[in-house]
Amino acid sequence: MKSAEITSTKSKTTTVIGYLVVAMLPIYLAFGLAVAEPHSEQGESVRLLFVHVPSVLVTYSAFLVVLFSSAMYLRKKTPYWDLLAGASAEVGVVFCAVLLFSGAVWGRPTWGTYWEWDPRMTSTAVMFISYLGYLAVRRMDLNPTVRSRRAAVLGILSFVNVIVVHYSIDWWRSLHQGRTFDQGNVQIEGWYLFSFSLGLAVFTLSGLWLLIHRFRTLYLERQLDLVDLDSAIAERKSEAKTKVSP
Amino acid sequence: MLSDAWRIAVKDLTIELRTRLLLAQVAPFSLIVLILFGFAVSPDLLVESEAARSLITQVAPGLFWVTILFVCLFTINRSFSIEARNGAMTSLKLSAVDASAIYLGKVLAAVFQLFVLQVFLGTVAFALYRLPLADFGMLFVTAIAASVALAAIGVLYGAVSFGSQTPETLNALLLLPAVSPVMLAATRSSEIATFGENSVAWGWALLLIGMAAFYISVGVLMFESLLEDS
Repeated sequence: MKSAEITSTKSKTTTVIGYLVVAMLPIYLAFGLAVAEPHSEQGESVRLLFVHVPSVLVTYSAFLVVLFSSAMYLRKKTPYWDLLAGASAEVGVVFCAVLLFSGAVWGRPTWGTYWEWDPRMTSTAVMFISYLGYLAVRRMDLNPTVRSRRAAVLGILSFVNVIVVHYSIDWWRSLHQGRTFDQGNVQIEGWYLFSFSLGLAVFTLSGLWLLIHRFRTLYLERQLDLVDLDSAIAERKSEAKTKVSP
Repeated sequence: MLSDAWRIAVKDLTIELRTRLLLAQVAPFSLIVLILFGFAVSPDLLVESEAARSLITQVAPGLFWVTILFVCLFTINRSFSIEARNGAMTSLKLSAVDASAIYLGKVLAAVFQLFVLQVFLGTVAFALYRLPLADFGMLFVTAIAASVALAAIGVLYGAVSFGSQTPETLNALLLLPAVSPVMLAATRSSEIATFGENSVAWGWALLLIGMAAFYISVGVLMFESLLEDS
Protein backbone atom coordinates (compact mmCIF):
# COMPACT_ATOMS: atom_id res chain seq x y z
CA MET A 1 0.00 0.00 0.00
CA LYS A 2 1.56 3.31 -1.07
CA SER A 3 0.48 6.16 1.14
CA ALA A 4 3.39 8.55 1.38
CA GLU A 5 1.61 11.05 -0.85
CA ILE A 6 -1.41 11.42 1.47
CA THR A 7 -1.71 15.02 2.62
CA SER A 8 -5.48 15.42 3.04
CA THR A 9 -8.53 13.21 3.56
CA LYS A 10 -9.74 14.07 0.05
CA SER A 11 -8.62 12.12 -3.02
CA LYS A 12 -9.60 11.83 -6.68
CA THR A 13 -11.27 8.50 -5.96
CA THR A 14 -13.41 9.88 -3.14
CA THR A 15 -14.37 12.89 -5.26
CA VAL A 16 -15.60 10.60 -8.06
CA ILE A 17 -17.40 8.34 -5.58
CA GLY A 18 -18.95 11.37 -3.85
CA TYR A 19 -20.31 12.77 -7.13
CA LEU A 20 -21.64 9.34 -8.09
CA VAL A 21 -23.53 9.04 -4.79
CA VAL A 22 -24.95 12.57 -5.14
CA ALA A 23 -26.09 11.75 -8.69
CA MET A 24 -27.64 8.40 -7.76
CA LEU A 25 -29.33 9.51 -4.55
CA PRO A 26 -32.34 11.35 -6.14
CA ILE A 27 -32.96 8.42 -8.53
CA TYR A 28 -32.73 5.97 -5.63
CA LEU A 29 -35.17 8.03 -3.55
CA ALA A 30 -37.58 8.45 -6.51
CA PHE A 31 -37.66 4.74 -7.29
CA GLY A 32 -37.62 3.64 -3.67
CA LEU A 33 -40.32 6.01 -2.47
CA ALA A 34 -42.51 6.46 -5.57
CA VAL A 35 -41.98 4.14 -8.55
CA ALA A 36 -41.85 0.85 -6.61
CA GLU A 37 -45.46 0.13 -5.69
CA PRO A 38 -46.63 -0.88 -2.20
CA HIS A 39 -46.37 -4.61 -1.59
CA SER A 40 -49.56 -6.72 -1.55
CA GLU A 41 -48.85 -7.98 1.99
CA GLN A 42 -46.36 -5.57 3.54
CA GLY A 43 -47.75 -2.36 2.01
CA GLU A 44 -45.56 0.76 2.20
CA SER A 45 -43.23 -0.81 4.74
CA VAL A 46 -41.65 -2.92 1.97
CA ARG A 47 -39.64 0.20 1.05
CA LEU A 48 -37.47 -0.45 4.09
CA LEU A 49 -36.06 -3.35 2.07
CA PHE A 50 -34.11 -0.79 0.02
CA VAL A 51 -32.38 0.47 3.18
CA HIS A 52 -32.25 -2.59 5.42
CA VAL A 53 -30.73 -5.21 3.11
CA PRO A 54 -28.06 -2.90 1.58
CA SER A 55 -27.00 -1.92 5.11
CA VAL A 56 -26.65 -5.65 5.92
CA LEU A 57 -24.37 -6.20 2.95
CA VAL A 58 -22.22 -3.14 3.70
CA THR A 59 -21.97 -4.16 7.37
CA TYR A 60 -20.89 -7.70 6.46
CA SER A 61 -18.39 -6.38 3.89
CA ALA A 62 -16.92 -3.87 6.34
CA PHE A 63 -16.44 -6.55 9.01
CA LEU A 64 -14.96 -8.87 6.38
CA VAL A 65 -12.41 -6.15 5.59
CA VAL A 66 -11.67 -5.94 9.34
CA LEU A 67 -11.02 -9.70 9.38
CA PHE A 68 -8.79 -9.63 6.30
CA SER A 69 -6.88 -6.49 7.35
CA SER A 70 -6.36 -7.86 10.87
CA ALA A 71 -4.96 -11.13 9.49
CA MET A 72 -2.73 -9.16 7.10
CA TYR A 73 -1.52 -6.95 9.95
CA LEU A 74 -0.51 -9.97 12.01
CA ARG A 75 1.29 -11.37 8.97
CA LYS A 76 2.93 -8.24 7.51
CA LYS A 77 3.10 -5.98 10.61
CA THR A 78 2.61 -2.89 8.42
CA PRO A 79 0.54 -0.17 10.14
CA TYR A 80 -1.60 0.49 7.05
CA TRP A 81 -3.44 -2.81 7.48
CA ASP A 82 -4.16 -1.83 11.07
CA LEU A 83 -5.48 1.57 9.98
CA LEU A 84 -7.64 -0.07 7.32
CA ALA A 85 -9.08 -2.48 9.90
CA GLY A 86 -9.86 0.41 12.25
CA ALA A 87 -11.47 2.53 9.53
CA SER A 88 -13.52 -0.41 8.28
CA ALA A 89 -14.73 -1.32 11.77
CA GLU A 90 -16.00 2.23 12.27
CA VAL A 91 -17.86 2.13 8.95
CA GLY A 92 -19.25 -1.32 9.82
CA VAL A 93 -20.51 -0.12 13.20
CA VAL A 94 -22.28 2.88 11.61
CA PHE A 95 -24.03 0.69 9.03
CA CYS A 96 -24.81 -1.92 11.69
CA ALA A 97 -26.58 0.84 13.66
CA VAL A 98 -28.56 1.71 10.52
CA LEU A 99 -29.33 -2.01 10.09
CA LEU A 100 -30.62 -2.39 13.66
CA PHE A 101 -32.66 0.81 13.48
CA SER A 102 -34.23 0.00 10.09
CA GLY A 103 -34.92 -3.56 11.29
CA ALA A 104 -36.72 -2.26 14.38
CA VAL A 105 -38.76 0.22 12.31
CA TRP A 106 -39.66 -2.59 9.84
CA GLY A 107 -40.52 -4.92 12.70
CA ARG A 108 -43.25 -2.62 14.02
CA PRO A 109 -45.68 -2.96 11.04
CA THR A 110 -44.58 -6.54 10.19
CA TRP A 111 -44.41 -8.22 13.60
CA GLY A 112 -46.29 -5.59 15.64
CA THR A 113 -43.25 -4.72 17.76
CA TYR A 114 -40.01 -2.77 17.44
CA TRP A 115 -38.02 -5.52 19.10
CA GLU A 116 -38.59 -9.27 19.02
CA TRP A 117 -36.28 -11.76 20.73
CA ASP A 118 -35.56 -13.19 17.34
CA PRO A 119 -32.21 -15.00 16.85
CA ARG A 120 -31.12 -12.75 14.01
CA MET A 121 -32.08 -9.48 15.73
CA THR A 122 -30.51 -10.53 19.00
CA SER A 123 -27.31 -11.84 17.41
CA THR A 124 -27.04 -8.64 15.34
CA ALA A 125 -27.28 -6.55 18.52
CA VAL A 126 -24.56 -8.73 20.11
CA MET A 127 -22.40 -8.30 16.98
CA PHE A 128 -22.88 -4.51 17.15
CA ILE A 129 -21.77 -4.41 20.80
CA SER A 130 -18.80 -6.71 20.15
CA TYR A 131 -17.49 -4.34 17.45
CA LEU A 132 -18.02 -1.39 19.82
CA GLY A 133 -15.70 -3.35 22.13
CA TYR A 134 -13.24 -3.68 19.25
CA LEU A 135 -13.30 0.09 18.78
CA ALA A 136 -12.77 0.54 22.54
CA VAL A 137 -9.65 -1.65 22.32
CA ARG A 138 -8.35 0.58 19.54
CA ARG A 139 -8.53 3.52 21.96
CA MET A 140 -6.57 1.77 24.71
CA ASP A 141 -3.73 3.80 26.16
CA LEU A 142 -0.95 1.38 25.21
CA ASN A 143 2.12 1.20 23.02
CA PRO A 144 0.65 1.63 19.48
CA THR A 145 2.21 -1.61 18.22
CA VAL A 146 0.88 -3.64 21.14
CA ARG A 147 -2.53 -2.03 20.76
CA SER A 148 -2.60 -2.75 17.02
CA ARG A 149 -1.66 -6.38 17.57
CA ARG A 150 -4.35 -6.91 20.19
CA ALA A 151 -6.89 -5.14 17.98
CA ALA A 152 -5.90 -7.45 15.12
CA VAL A 153 -6.50 -10.57 17.23
CA LEU A 154 -9.83 -9.15 18.33
CA GLY A 155 -10.70 -8.21 14.74
CA ILE A 156 -10.31 -11.87 13.80
CA LEU A 157 -12.19 -13.20 16.84
CA SER A 158 -15.08 -10.76 16.40
CA PHE A 159 -15.86 -12.17 12.96
CA VAL A 160 -17.35 -15.22 14.68
CA ASN A 161 -20.31 -12.93 15.45
CA VAL A 162 -20.86 -12.22 11.74
CA ILE A 163 -21.02 -15.96 11.02
CA VAL A 164 -23.49 -16.45 13.89
CA VAL A 165 -25.70 -13.60 12.58
CA HIS A 166 -25.64 -14.91 9.01
CA TYR A 167 -26.55 -18.49 9.89
CA SER A 168 -28.84 -17.68 12.83
CA ILE A 169 -31.96 -18.06 10.67
CA ASP A 170 -30.81 -21.59 9.72
CA TRP A 171 -29.65 -22.65 13.19
CA TRP A 172 -32.69 -21.41 15.15
CA ARG A 173 -36.36 -21.03 14.46
CA SER A 174 -36.70 -17.39 13.48
CA LEU A 175 -39.43 -14.85 12.74
CA HIS A 176 -36.98 -13.18 10.38
CA GLN A 177 -37.60 -13.77 6.69
CA GLY A 178 -35.11 -15.86 4.67
CA ARG A 179 -32.21 -14.34 2.78
CA THR A 180 -33.08 -11.94 -0.05
CA PHE A 181 -30.25 -13.51 -2.03
CA ASP A 182 -30.05 -17.20 -1.28
CA GLN A 183 -27.24 -18.97 -3.18
CA GLY A 184 -27.82 -16.86 -6.29
CA ASN A 185 -31.59 -17.29 -6.11
CA VAL A 186 -33.00 -13.73 -6.03
CA GLN A 187 -36.27 -13.47 -4.08
CA ILE A 188 -37.34 -10.07 -5.51
CA GLU A 189 -38.02 -8.82 -9.04
CA GLY A 190 -39.17 -5.87 -11.19
CA TRP A 191 -38.96 -2.34 -9.74
CA TYR A 192 -38.24 -3.82 -6.33
CA LEU A 193 -35.08 -5.41 -7.69
CA PHE A 194 -34.10 -2.21 -9.53
CA SER A 195 -34.69 0.04 -6.48
CA PHE A 196 -32.89 -2.46 -4.28
CA SER A 197 -29.92 -2.53 -6.67
CA LEU A 198 -29.80 1.27 -6.63
CA GLY A 199 -29.91 1.20 -2.83
CA LEU A 200 -27.12 -1.35 -2.78
CA ALA A 201 -24.98 0.83 -5.08
CA VAL A 202 -25.65 4.00 -3.03
CA PHE A 203 -24.92 2.26 0.28
CA THR A 204 -21.81 0.50 -1.02
CA LEU A 205 -20.36 3.66 -2.56
CA SER A 206 -21.19 5.66 0.60
CA GLY A 207 -19.48 3.00 2.71
CA LEU A 208 -16.45 3.06 0.42
CA TRP A 209 -16.34 6.87 0.53
CA LEU A 210 -16.44 6.82 4.33
CA LEU A 211 -13.84 4.04 4.48
CA ILE A 212 -11.33 5.89 2.29
CA HIS A 213 -11.83 9.17 4.12
CA ARG A 214 -11.56 7.54 7.51
CA PHE A 215 -8.46 5.58 6.48
CA ARG A 216 -6.78 8.77 5.31
CA THR A 217 -7.78 10.60 8.51
CA LEU A 218 -6.30 7.82 10.63
CA TYR A 219 -3.16 7.85 8.48
CA LEU A 220 -2.75 11.62 8.91
CA GLU A 221 -3.34 11.30 12.69
CA ARG A 222 -0.60 8.69 12.82
CA GLN A 223 1.76 10.92 10.82
CA LEU A 224 1.03 13.77 13.21
CA ASP A 225 1.87 11.56 16.19
CA LEU A 226 5.15 10.57 14.55
CA VAL A 227 6.01 14.21 13.76
CA ASP A 228 5.23 15.18 17.37
CA LEU A 229 7.41 12.36 18.62
CA ASP A 230 10.30 13.27 16.29
CA SER A 231 10.15 16.94 17.24
CA ALA A 232 10.01 16.06 20.97
CA ILE A 233 13.10 13.86 20.60
CA ALA A 234 14.92 16.60 18.65
CA GLU A 235 13.98 19.15 21.33
CA ARG A 236 15.28 16.94 24.16
CA LYS A 237 18.52 16.34 22.22
CA SER A 238 19.08 20.04 21.69
CA GLU A 239 18.37 20.68 25.39
CA ALA A 240 20.95 18.07 26.35
CA LYS A 241 23.55 19.63 24.04
CA THR A 242 22.90 23.09 25.48
CA LYS A 243 23.37 21.82 29.05
CA VAL A 244 26.57 19.89 28.25
CA SER A 245 28.28 22.71 26.34
CA PRO A 246 30.11 25.21 28.66
CA MET B 1 4.29 -27.45 27.43
CA LEU B 2 1.66 -29.19 29.55
CA SER B 3 3.95 -29.36 32.59
CA ASP B 4 4.56 -25.59 32.25
CA ALA B 5 0.82 -25.03 31.94
CA TRP B 6 0.29 -27.07 35.09
CA ARG B 7 2.89 -24.95 36.95
CA ILE B 8 1.18 -21.72 35.85
CA ALA B 9 -2.19 -23.10 37.00
CA VAL B 10 -0.73 -24.13 40.36
CA LYS B 11 0.84 -20.66 40.74
CA ASP B 12 -2.51 -18.93 40.09
CA LEU B 13 -4.38 -21.28 42.41
CA THR B 14 -1.75 -20.88 45.15
CA ILE B 15 -2.15 -17.10 44.97
CA GLU B 16 -5.91 -17.63 45.16
CA LEU B 17 -5.54 -19.91 48.19
CA ARG B 18 -3.37 -17.35 49.95
CA THR B 19 -5.57 -14.35 49.24
CA ARG B 20 -8.92 -16.23 49.38
CA LEU B 21 -10.60 -13.68 47.13
CA LEU B 22 -12.88 -16.36 45.69
CA LEU B 23 -14.07 -17.52 49.09
CA ALA B 24 -14.19 -14.18 50.85
CA GLN B 25 -15.61 -11.95 48.13
CA VAL B 26 -16.75 -13.66 44.93
CA ALA B 27 -18.78 -16.47 46.57
CA PRO B 28 -20.75 -14.13 48.90
CA PHE B 29 -21.24 -11.69 46.01
CA SER B 30 -22.67 -14.39 43.75
CA LEU B 31 -24.89 -15.58 46.59
CA ILE B 32 -26.44 -12.16 47.06
CA VAL B 33 -26.95 -11.89 43.28
CA LEU B 34 -28.94 -15.17 43.32
CA ILE B 35 -31.07 -13.86 46.21
CA LEU B 36 -31.61 -10.46 44.58
CA PHE B 37 -32.66 -12.14 41.32
CA GLY B 38 -35.41 -13.82 43.33
CA PHE B 39 -36.69 -10.43 44.49
CA ALA B 40 -36.28 -8.87 41.05
CA VAL B 41 -38.13 -11.60 39.17
CA SER B 42 -40.94 -11.81 41.65
CA PRO B 43 -41.29 -9.80 44.87
CA ASP B 44 -44.30 -12.04 45.69
CA LEU B 45 -41.85 -14.79 46.70
CA LEU B 46 -41.82 -13.23 50.16
CA VAL B 47 -45.53 -13.96 50.61
CA GLU B 48 -45.26 -17.58 49.34
CA SER B 49 -47.16 -17.04 46.10
CA GLU B 50 -47.41 -20.25 44.00
CA ALA B 51 -47.35 -18.29 40.73
CA ALA B 52 -44.16 -16.55 41.82
CA ARG B 53 -42.60 -19.90 42.76
CA SER B 54 -43.46 -21.28 39.35
CA LEU B 55 -41.98 -18.24 37.58
CA ILE B 56 -38.70 -18.29 39.48
CA THR B 57 -38.36 -22.03 38.86
CA GLN B 58 -38.81 -21.55 35.11
CA VAL B 59 -36.22 -18.78 34.80
CA ALA B 60 -33.78 -20.21 37.36
CA PRO B 61 -31.30 -21.75 34.85
CA GLY B 62 -30.93 -18.39 33.08
CA LEU B 63 -30.47 -16.52 36.35
CA PHE B 64 -27.88 -19.06 37.46
CA TRP B 65 -25.82 -18.60 34.28
CA VAL B 66 -26.02 -14.81 34.43
CA THR B 67 -24.58 -15.08 37.95
CA ILE B 68 -21.85 -17.37 36.64
CA LEU B 69 -21.03 -14.75 33.97
CA PHE B 70 -20.42 -12.20 36.74
CA VAL B 71 -18.27 -14.75 38.53
CA CYS B 72 -16.37 -15.38 35.28
CA LEU B 73 -15.67 -11.66 34.92
CA PHE B 74 -14.25 -11.50 38.46
CA THR B 75 -12.19 -14.65 37.93
CA ILE B 76 -10.67 -13.40 34.68
CA ASN B 77 -10.00 -9.91 36.03
CA ARG B 78 -8.31 -11.51 39.00
CA SER B 79 -6.30 -13.84 36.77
CA PHE B 80 -4.71 -10.84 35.05
CA SER B 81 -4.62 -8.35 37.93
CA ILE B 82 -2.19 -10.65 39.77
CA GLU B 83 0.15 -10.32 36.78
CA ALA B 84 -0.14 -6.53 36.65
CA ARG B 85 1.69 -5.87 39.92
CA ASN B 86 5.48 -5.68 40.27
CA GLY B 87 5.99 -6.50 36.60
CA ALA B 88 4.82 -10.07 37.12
CA MET B 89 3.74 -10.44 33.51
CA THR B 90 7.18 -9.35 32.28
CA SER B 91 8.78 -11.92 34.60
CA LEU B 92 6.42 -14.56 33.29
CA LYS B 93 7.37 -13.77 29.70
CA LEU B 94 11.09 -13.67 30.57
CA SER B 95 10.83 -17.11 32.16
CA ALA B 96 10.89 -18.54 28.62
CA VAL B 97 7.63 -20.38 29.16
CA ASP B 98 5.75 -20.88 25.91
CA ALA B 99 2.84 -18.41 25.46
CA SER B 100 0.44 -21.29 24.80
CA ALA B 101 1.51 -22.87 28.13
CA ILE B 102 0.74 -19.60 29.91
CA TYR B 103 -2.65 -19.55 28.20
CA LEU B 104 -3.47 -23.16 29.05
CA GLY B 105 -2.27 -22.71 32.63
CA LYS B 106 -4.44 -19.66 33.17
CA VAL B 107 -7.40 -21.43 31.56
CA LEU B 108 -6.89 -24.45 33.81
CA ALA B 109 -6.82 -22.31 36.96
CA ALA B 110 -9.91 -20.39 35.83
CA VAL B 111 -11.76 -23.65 34.99
CA PHE B 112 -11.06 -25.00 38.48
CA GLN B 113 -12.30 -21.80 40.15
CA LEU B 114 -15.38 -21.54 37.95
CA PHE B 115 -16.27 -25.19 38.50
CA VAL B 116 -15.93 -24.91 42.29
CA LEU B 117 -18.18 -21.84 42.29
CA GLN B 118 -20.68 -23.55 39.99
CA VAL B 119 -20.95 -26.48 42.39
CA PHE B 120 -21.47 -24.10 45.31
CA LEU B 121 -23.93 -21.80 43.52
CA GLY B 122 -25.72 -24.70 41.82
CA THR B 123 -26.39 -26.34 45.17
CA VAL B 124 -27.68 -23.05 46.56
CA ALA B 125 -29.81 -22.39 43.46
CA PHE B 126 -31.44 -25.83 43.67
CA ALA B 127 -32.37 -25.12 47.29
CA LEU B 128 -33.38 -21.47 46.83
CA TYR B 129 -35.45 -21.93 43.69
CA ARG B 130 -36.73 -25.44 44.61
CA LEU B 131 -35.61 -26.99 41.34
CA PRO B 132 -36.10 -30.61 40.24
CA LEU B 133 -33.16 -32.58 38.78
CA ALA B 134 -33.90 -34.78 35.78
CA ASP B 135 -30.41 -35.65 34.50
CA PHE B 136 -27.39 -35.22 36.78
CA GLY B 137 -24.97 -36.50 34.11
CA MET B 138 -26.00 -33.82 31.64
CA LEU B 139 -25.80 -31.12 34.30
CA PHE B 140 -22.27 -32.25 35.21
CA VAL B 141 -21.11 -32.27 31.57
CA THR B 142 -22.73 -28.85 31.05
CA ALA B 143 -20.92 -27.42 34.07
CA ILE B 144 -17.53 -28.76 32.96
CA ALA B 145 -17.92 -27.79 29.28
CA ALA B 146 -19.27 -24.32 30.12
CA SER B 147 -16.42 -23.73 32.59
CA VAL B 148 -13.84 -24.63 29.94
CA ALA B 149 -15.55 -22.50 27.27
CA LEU B 150 -15.95 -19.50 29.60
CA ALA B 151 -12.35 -19.77 30.82
CA ALA B 152 -10.97 -20.24 27.28
CA ILE B 153 -12.77 -17.15 25.99
CA GLY B 154 -12.21 -15.20 29.20
CA VAL B 155 -8.42 -15.64 29.30
CA LEU B 156 -8.17 -14.71 25.62
CA TYR B 157 -10.16 -11.50 26.06
CA GLY B 158 -8.54 -10.81 29.44
CA ALA B 159 -5.17 -10.69 27.67
CA VAL B 160 -6.60 -8.22 25.13
CA SER B 161 -7.63 -5.78 27.87
CA PHE B 162 -4.52 -6.38 30.02
CA GLY B 163 -2.59 -3.16 30.65
CA SER B 164 -5.57 -0.95 29.92
CA GLN B 165 -6.31 1.84 32.41
CA THR B 166 -9.78 0.37 33.00
CA PRO B 167 -9.35 -3.39 32.39
CA GLU B 168 -12.47 -4.33 34.41
CA THR B 169 -14.95 -2.36 32.29
CA LEU B 170 -13.19 -3.09 29.02
CA ASN B 171 -13.07 -6.79 29.82
CA ALA B 172 -16.80 -6.78 30.58
CA LEU B 173 -17.55 -5.03 27.28
CA LEU B 174 -15.44 -7.53 25.33
CA LEU B 175 -16.26 -10.69 27.21
CA LEU B 176 -20.04 -10.54 27.61
CA PRO B 177 -20.87 -10.43 23.86
CA ALA B 178 -18.26 -13.13 23.21
CA VAL B 179 -19.64 -15.53 25.81
CA SER B 180 -23.30 -14.96 24.92
CA PRO B 181 -23.47 -18.16 22.77
CA VAL B 182 -21.95 -20.11 25.69
CA MET B 183 -24.53 -18.67 28.04
CA LEU B 184 -27.35 -19.54 25.64
CA ALA B 185 -26.17 -23.13 25.23
CA ALA B 186 -25.45 -23.56 28.94
CA THR B 187 -28.87 -22.22 29.91
CA ARG B 188 -30.71 -24.47 27.47
CA SER B 189 -28.65 -27.50 28.44
CA SER B 190 -29.24 -26.81 32.16
CA GLU B 191 -32.97 -26.43 31.52
CA ILE B 192 -33.06 -29.84 29.88
CA ALA B 193 -30.97 -31.38 32.68
CA THR B 194 -33.21 -29.78 35.30
CA PHE B 195 -36.71 -30.19 33.86
CA GLY B 196 -36.12 -33.15 31.56
CA GLU B 197 -38.37 -32.59 28.58
CA ASN B 198 -36.70 -31.80 25.25
CA SER B 199 -36.14 -33.59 22.00
CA VAL B 200 -32.62 -32.28 21.30
CA ALA B 201 -31.37 -33.52 24.70
CA TRP B 202 -27.55 -33.57 24.44
CA GLY B 203 -27.37 -31.16 21.48
CA TRP B 204 -26.71 -28.05 23.58
CA ALA B 205 -24.15 -29.83 25.76
CA LEU B 206 -22.31 -30.98 22.62
CA LEU B 207 -22.41 -27.42 21.27
CA LEU B 208 -20.76 -26.27 24.52
CA ILE B 209 -18.03 -28.89 24.11
CA GLY B 210 -17.52 -27.72 20.51
CA MET B 211 -17.23 -24.07 21.57
CA ALA B 212 -14.78 -25.00 24.35
CA ALA B 213 -12.59 -26.94 21.87
CA PHE B 214 -12.74 -24.11 19.30
CA TYR B 215 -11.72 -21.36 21.70
CA ILE B 216 -8.98 -23.46 23.33
CA SER B 217 -7.48 -24.01 19.84
CA VAL B 218 -7.78 -20.31 18.94
CA GLY B 219 -6.25 -19.32 22.28
CA VAL B 220 -3.28 -21.66 21.88
CA LEU B 221 -2.65 -20.27 18.39
CA MET B 222 -3.14 -16.57 19.14
CA PHE B 223 -2.07 -15.99 22.72
CA GLU B 224 1.53 -15.28 21.73
CA SER B 225 0.42 -12.29 19.64
CA LEU B 226 -1.37 -10.88 22.67
CA LEU B 227 1.62 -11.22 24.98
CA GLU B 228 4.26 -9.57 22.79
CA ASP B 229 5.39 -6.18 24.07
CA SER B 230 6.51 -4.48 20.88
